[in-house]
Amino acid sequence: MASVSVSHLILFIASIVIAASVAGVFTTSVDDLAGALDDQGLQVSENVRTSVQVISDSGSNNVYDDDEETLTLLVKNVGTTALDADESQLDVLVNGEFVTSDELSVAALDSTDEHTWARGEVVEVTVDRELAPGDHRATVIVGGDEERFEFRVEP
Amino acid sequence: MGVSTSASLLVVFFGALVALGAVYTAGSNTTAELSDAYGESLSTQAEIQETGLELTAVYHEPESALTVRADNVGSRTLSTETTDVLVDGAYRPLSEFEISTVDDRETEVWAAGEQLRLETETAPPERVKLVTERGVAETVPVVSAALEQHNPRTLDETGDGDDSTIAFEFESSYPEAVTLLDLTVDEVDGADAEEISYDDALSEVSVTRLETDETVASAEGRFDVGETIEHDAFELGSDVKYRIGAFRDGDGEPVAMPSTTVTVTLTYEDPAGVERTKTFTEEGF
Repeated sequence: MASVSVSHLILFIASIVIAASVAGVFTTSVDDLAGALDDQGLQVSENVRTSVQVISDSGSNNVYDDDEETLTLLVKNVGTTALDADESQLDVLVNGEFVTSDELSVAALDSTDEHTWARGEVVEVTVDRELAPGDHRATVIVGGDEERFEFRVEP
Repeated sequence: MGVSTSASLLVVFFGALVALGAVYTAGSNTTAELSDAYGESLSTQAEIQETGLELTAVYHEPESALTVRADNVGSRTLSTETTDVLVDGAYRPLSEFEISTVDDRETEVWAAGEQLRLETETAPPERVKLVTERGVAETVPVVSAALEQHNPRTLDETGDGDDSTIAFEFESSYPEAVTLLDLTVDEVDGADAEEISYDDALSEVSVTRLETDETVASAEGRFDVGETIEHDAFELGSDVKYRIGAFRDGDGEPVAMPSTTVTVTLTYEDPAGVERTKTFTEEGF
């Protein structure tokens, strides 16, 4: 009789250990999933909140400086979240070509804090790039928001 | 066996409960976060739809002043703090404008139906763009407005053979009528100018409309050089002719004005009712 009880006890412990392992693996996996869901949710909500607009006047002669060979874009934060006023915050493409951080500079205009790109504030994005006379386009990407700006370079 | 199965199921069930709790927390946090973000996005869209702008830009050549007037024709209250202005594509902070008022008040609250007025001294620009906090923008060409004098000459109004009265014509390139209020003869210089008495130097100012020869304003009396001579306010619709004189010396005798240089300042109200001045010097009468 004692042997039956011992074997039952062993089986009981084994079943509890297996159940605990299953529950542990399940909980860990679901925890990871929940963490990822949380991160993704934050990321998506940040993207929804982020919105910028290129406010440069494409009809003026102040977009491209022929002498300095620089393209100047004025970009306004029209979203509902503050951004950083530095090169890491945005990606710029000129005529589809990526602009590296060496060719790019970002400066906050009329701002109380030069590192913050608060709601409603404007940054000046300067791109060192030689452009031939004709039609060109620049794309500014900030947090998933893509803004396209078309302009002319007069001969 | 029965107890083992029940206990194992209980452990698994408890594990599942804990896991579901974590999923529920993450799910509800994410949903709340996303719903907030989409709510803000929708309210931004609504703000954009409720924002309306009407922009005019006039360059007053006599004062080298650019005036930008923006009417808030939407149904939302805007803020001037986050409003941006580009003059010929160059960013111009509102703090750089000498005048930045909303319906003549220095405030950042720009309510529906109110007008933002910005004014600064600058070289003649071509275009102005105004952008609101939410990116609603309007671009307008700058209308250049000037008052021009031409055809200066001298007249003998006293009939004594001396051309002691000066005359010139005046026209406006403002899109709407301006109102002339007063004038000042600031300075007289030239051949016979030394003879002119700066006190009680002249006795009459009259303005006639060239088309009809109708007198639209006049002032009579004894006026000093440098004195503001107020006359009937009149709207400068078409060209007018100013007659100023007769200039006299200390004895009250008329002085011949040919070869003199005269500086005159006219005060006028622009079509928006702002008082401005136009100073010019005419020579070679």
